[in-house]
Amino acid sequence: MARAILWLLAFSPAAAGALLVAQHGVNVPVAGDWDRAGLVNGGLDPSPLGERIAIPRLVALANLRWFGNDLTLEMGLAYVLVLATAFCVYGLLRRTLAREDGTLYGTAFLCNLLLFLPMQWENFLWAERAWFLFPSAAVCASLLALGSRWLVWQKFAACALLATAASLTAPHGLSLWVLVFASGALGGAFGSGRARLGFLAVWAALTAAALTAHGLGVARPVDLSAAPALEQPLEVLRFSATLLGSPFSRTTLVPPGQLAPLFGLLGMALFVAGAAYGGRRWCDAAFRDRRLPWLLLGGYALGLSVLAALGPDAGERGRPLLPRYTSISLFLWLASLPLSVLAVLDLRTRVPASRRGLRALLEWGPAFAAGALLVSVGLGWLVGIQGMGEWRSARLQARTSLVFLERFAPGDLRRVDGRPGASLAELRRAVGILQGGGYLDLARADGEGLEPFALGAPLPAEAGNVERVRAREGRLDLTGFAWLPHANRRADGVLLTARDASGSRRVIALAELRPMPLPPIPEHDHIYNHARTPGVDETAAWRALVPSDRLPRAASVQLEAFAVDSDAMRLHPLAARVVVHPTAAGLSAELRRPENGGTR
Amino acid sequence: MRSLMLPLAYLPALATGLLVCQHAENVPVWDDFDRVPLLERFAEGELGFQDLYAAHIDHRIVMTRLVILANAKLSGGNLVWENWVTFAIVVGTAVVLGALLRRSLPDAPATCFAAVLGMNALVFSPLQWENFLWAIQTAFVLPMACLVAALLALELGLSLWVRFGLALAAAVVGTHSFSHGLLIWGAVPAWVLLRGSAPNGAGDSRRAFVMAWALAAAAILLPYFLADYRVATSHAYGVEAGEHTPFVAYAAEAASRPRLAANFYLSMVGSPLSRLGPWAPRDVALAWGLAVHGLLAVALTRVVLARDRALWERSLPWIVLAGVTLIACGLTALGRAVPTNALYALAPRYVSVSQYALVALVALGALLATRSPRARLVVVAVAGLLALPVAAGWKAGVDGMVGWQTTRLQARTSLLFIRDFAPRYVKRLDRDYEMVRGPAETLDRYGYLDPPLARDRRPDAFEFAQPGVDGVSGRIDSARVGPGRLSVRGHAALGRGPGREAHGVLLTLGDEGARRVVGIGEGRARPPGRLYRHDHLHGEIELDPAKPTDVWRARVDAAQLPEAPVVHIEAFVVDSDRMRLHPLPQRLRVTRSAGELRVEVESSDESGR
Repeated sequence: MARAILWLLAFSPAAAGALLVAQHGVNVPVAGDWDRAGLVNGGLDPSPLGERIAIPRLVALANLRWFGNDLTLEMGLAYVLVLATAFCVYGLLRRTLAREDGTLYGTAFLCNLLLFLPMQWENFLWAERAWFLFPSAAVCASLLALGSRWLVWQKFAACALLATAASLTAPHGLSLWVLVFASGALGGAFGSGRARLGFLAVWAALTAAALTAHGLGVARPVDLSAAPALEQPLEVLRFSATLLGSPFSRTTLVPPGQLAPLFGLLGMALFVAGAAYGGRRWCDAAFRDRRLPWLLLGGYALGLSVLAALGPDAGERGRPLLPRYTSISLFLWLASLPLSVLAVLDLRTRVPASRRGLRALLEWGPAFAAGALLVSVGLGWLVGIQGMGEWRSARLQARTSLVFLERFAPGDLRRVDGRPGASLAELRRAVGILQGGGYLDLARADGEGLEPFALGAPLPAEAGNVERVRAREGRLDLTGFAWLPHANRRADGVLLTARDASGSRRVIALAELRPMPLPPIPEHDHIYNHARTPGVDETAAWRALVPSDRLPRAASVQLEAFAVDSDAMRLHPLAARVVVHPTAAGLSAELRRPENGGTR
Repeated sequence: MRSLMLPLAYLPALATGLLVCQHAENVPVWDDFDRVPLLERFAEGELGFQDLYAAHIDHRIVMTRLVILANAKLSGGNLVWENWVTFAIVVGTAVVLGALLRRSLPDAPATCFAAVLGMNALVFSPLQWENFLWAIQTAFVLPMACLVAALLALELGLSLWVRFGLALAAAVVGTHSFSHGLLIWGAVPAWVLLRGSAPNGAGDSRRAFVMAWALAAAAILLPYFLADYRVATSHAYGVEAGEHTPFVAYAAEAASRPRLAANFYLSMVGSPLSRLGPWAPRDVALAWGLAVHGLLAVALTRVVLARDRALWERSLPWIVLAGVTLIACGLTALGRAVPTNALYALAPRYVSVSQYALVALVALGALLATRSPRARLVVVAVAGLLALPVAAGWKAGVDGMVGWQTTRLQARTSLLFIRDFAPRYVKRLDRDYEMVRGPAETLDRYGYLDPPLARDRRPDAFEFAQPGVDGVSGRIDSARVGPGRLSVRGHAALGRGPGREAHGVLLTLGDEGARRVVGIGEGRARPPGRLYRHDHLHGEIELDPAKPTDVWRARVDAAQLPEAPVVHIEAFVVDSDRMRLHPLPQRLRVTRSAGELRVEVESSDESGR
């Protein structure tokens, strides 16, 4: 019973992660998700990056075919991949620590805090990116299989299957071929020497075949010799360290770009120290076997960080801090945990009783470090949860833009589309294809009315209002703010309406929110949103520019504003109204608030 | 505790001492000017008891006034001396806390060492920079020192009535320092009654102790509250001199707004830990406050459920310390939440009170850690959890000290010429010009200002540096003629980065020996790191990182200019730390023609200088 409770506590981050993904996942495409329009048409264009992503495409096709392209299912799949990774890591921990006490469950808890870190929101909440997580799961599963008591051919089959699948999922899946070989070569418990040699020989042949097949026909093969970063090793180190230190770099007010390299170097040092511990005892197979999976996992993170530093996009300053790379960098820290625990447990048996200070340090130090790590990772969770909130807000705002896409061009196309160089025409075409096939969960606005939204309760003035209206240069310039108190988030847009001759409300403008992201989400944190420059504390600001030709022809036009909740598909009236009088000289506008005698 | 370990546990004291040495400045600010009537009467031989006993806001700061008078006598009123008195009080507090903890943990030297180190990290945190660097705040730190001294006195193995006398002395001193010292009157009998076994002898002794204490308390507290308990300062949160104190004025309203008061209270308790993370302290302090309460509740529950008399008696001083701290925070909330707001709870000076909840927690944790290895692990893990927020507080505190020093040095420039120029940013000194000018002249008259106020607008207190040295830079960007004045604008800095903002710019007429200041350019400051509106620096702080802080603006009264057809006004960057003036490479050429003024900026080199 006690163990069951401890196990549940150790996996409580998994439960929290599930709740977060369920709460923040929104079925709205962004960036690469729109490329599914090509799949619908039967086109299987090669990936522009030269990646072999057959498995993600097959899953996308299956989703289109059987689930109507519900992107939240693939977000759930991302979560399942991380959960599988967590179980594999737990299995490796049990084997490594060879005990079932607080040390195991405490270490597992910390590992799960890292694995389910919400700072990986790009991978949890973006369907196209969900497969980024598969290679890590495959690595952990392979290491678990290789250290098991299975027969050699069973290990080979499992690893081959995982490596093949990983290679066809994401580029970093290719690393599995190297890791399995290293584990086979260095692992102690592998059966006889002949079995090991046979395994390695066949694996090498399979690796060569797989890599050759992978490289054939790739549009942009990786050309390391052309990598400018090779000539700047310090830049490579900086990029790698920044990437590896990213999970902890948002926990202070120091800009992440300055702090992350320091944390990364610290992580590297911890890992190297843990790896080097007991160097002379590496001939001991049992000693080696307990550490090898973690060395390989840490090496996996290190190696990928270096390869990313050599990549063509390494010159972008914010790139190593991308949230998706957290899913790689966390493995350095995750690997350092059991290595450190093993080193401490081993030292405790070796340090003589006379050295009381060192013994006290060995006894207390890990607990102190665990407390400090807990608060650091906890801060990362809080930052990640805010990032998830911002992501969700951006997707819901995009949904509002999509509803009215045929009538109003999005002010920020990046938020709605997200693909580099995409145009409004391409987006409209993609939307048309997906919606035509029933693959887009979107109720479009066909007429000029407020459909498909239902009318909700008015917002209190302190939650949503029109702050200012100016008439100039033949158009109205309106600004305000809109917050949805019942949903505890900013509105997903603001609709401006005017009544036509028949008295019906007609949408004349869609105001997008141009909010300041809730701190501490800086620009490089991919929200695919629009962030204003810092300095103004506004988290729900909106602005609309309404040309005069959109206004009904009348002596006096009353505009109403509605905050959009595109999750519940409701409109909530804002407190103030705008009365516009077309004159010979142009437009004049007056803002009427309820306290000024307005009629709400 | 081994002799080698003891200095290590007091490393935080050394670090903060160095910080105080580096950042303390002899420049009065706000409540420091309240000393002027006291010093005046002292100098004239008219000082009476009422001068010492009058209420300063809610507090009878008799001890602080004595320190002020002693300082005036011994050092000529150098405020930095009072900063060192504050530091010495905190050192004394730390020593007493260490002694108290050694009595609580006689058999666990390593645990004791770790706990003392943790306590000192809190007690010496520079996050309390307002108290370390603001002379008047001697008053603020004394009551907690007296409280812990009283608790130590009660724990000593002396006779009952000797302990009574020591505790009484501490209570009297604490009471007449700041109003939270009043809580010592409740803390001592609480300790006596909660301890169970009599302090020394049978139950009759305890009753006699408590009754005598009650009589002493009445003798002190009745005059405290009844003898003209009205405000005698103009720095009383909107309450005018002669009116009821702010606590009396606002407590009832605060009690009727429980949410506001609770927000203030919890934020104040959580303030010492609220600097960690990328969020503003106001967003997280409340959560930290709840966490502190939770940890204290767990610790107290463990102590009670242990049913161990020895543990209870060893824990009692810390339980009392925590209780007094939380009550002090609650009373502060009642007295300050209404005239200010919940953000004010995060003021750096309040950390000097609320941190004692954490100090008590450290001690209780150390006591519980000795119970079992598992308990030790948990306590050490919690210590690790709290270490990062405390470290973040140190970082914010160091930033605050840099910001405080910069704003005091900027204020010094304005103060030197206060007779002739009303500062644009007068709030660096006090609420308005009249509240500064008169008191400053009085202080100067008695020789309590160093450097003294400038005479006839002459910058004689400064030495002139060569152009372009020490990394000083600046320029005059523009000048224009306005109604009866010239408006001048430029840039200036003493170097690069935070803490290197110029302390002002002087615009002068005349050559060496006959130079007169005709205008003072003032700029803003931006401390390093991230500070907030509740981080009281008493300065003009630019919080927007996008805006520059090297911009200065000055006005020159046209009436000050001679009637000559051409007049040159030179500009100097002020370094009021080294008392140097660094010439700018431009000057103003003012021409007068047909009664009209024209001004243009020209290079100083054109003059052949």
